[in-house]
Amino acid sequence: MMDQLTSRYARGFGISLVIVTLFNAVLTVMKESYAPLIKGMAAISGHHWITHGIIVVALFFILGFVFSGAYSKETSGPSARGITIWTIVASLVGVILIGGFYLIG
Amino acid sequence: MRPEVFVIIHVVFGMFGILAALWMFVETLNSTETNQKRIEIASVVLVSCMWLSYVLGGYYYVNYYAASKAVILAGPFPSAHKFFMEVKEHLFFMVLLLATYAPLAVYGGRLYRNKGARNLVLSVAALVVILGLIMDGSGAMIIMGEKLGLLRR
Repeated sequence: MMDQLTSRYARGFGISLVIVTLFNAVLTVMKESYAPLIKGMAAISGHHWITHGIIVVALFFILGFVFSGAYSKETSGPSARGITIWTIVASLVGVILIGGFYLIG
Repeated sequence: MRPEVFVIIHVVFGMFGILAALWMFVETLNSTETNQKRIEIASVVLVSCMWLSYVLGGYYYVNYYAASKAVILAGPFPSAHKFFMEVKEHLFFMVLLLATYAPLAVYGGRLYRNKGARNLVLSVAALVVILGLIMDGSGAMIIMGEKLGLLRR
C-alpha cells in the first residue's frame, strides 16, 4: 500500500503526536489561566515547566505505545496522508493557540 | 562552569537540530534506495540534538533564568519575556515531540517506495525547521530584552 505506514510505531506514535501537540497547547492556556493548576504543577516537581514537560513526554510515549498496539495490523489505523495532514493542522493550531494566548495576555 | 555556557550549548545543539532536520528534508526529497541510511542517520542526529538542547536549555531556565527575567521585566522591552520567552518555552515541546517522532517515521519503512511515508517525513522535517527558526528568533529577542534591561541600569 503506497499510502499506509508499514511500521505500527509510525502509525501509533503519529496519532499520539497529533493528540499531544494539541494537549500541550491546551495545557499551556489552562495553567496560565487557572492559578491553582500552575501552582499544583509547580508543587509536583519544583517548577511548573518541568511538570509540563514530564506530562507531555510521558503522554506521548504512553499514547504512542497504546495506539501502536491497537493498530498493529499493517492495514489498520489512519493513512500516512491522514497523519501528515493532522500533524500539520495540530502544529498550526498549537502555534496559534500558544502565540495568540500570550499575544492577547 | 559559568551558567551562560548552558545557554550557548543549548543554542548550538538547537541549530544542529535544525540543520539535521533540513538534511533529513533534502535527503527525503531525493529519496532512493541508496540514501535511506542517510535519512535514518539524519533523524537520529535530529532527535539527539533536540533532546540535548531541551535538557541544557531547561537546566538554565529552571536554575538561572529568574535573574534574567527580573532584568527583562524591569527594562524597556518586557515583551521579551512576556511574549517571546513564554511562547518559546511552550512551543519547544512541539519541536521536541516532532523530533522524537522523526526516527519512528523514518525507520518505519522504505521511504523511496512509499509516497505517503515520504510526505509525512518531509512535513515533520519542515515543521521542525520552521518552529526551530521561531525558537531561534525568540531567543534573540530574549537576549535583546535582557541587554536593554541591563543598559537601563
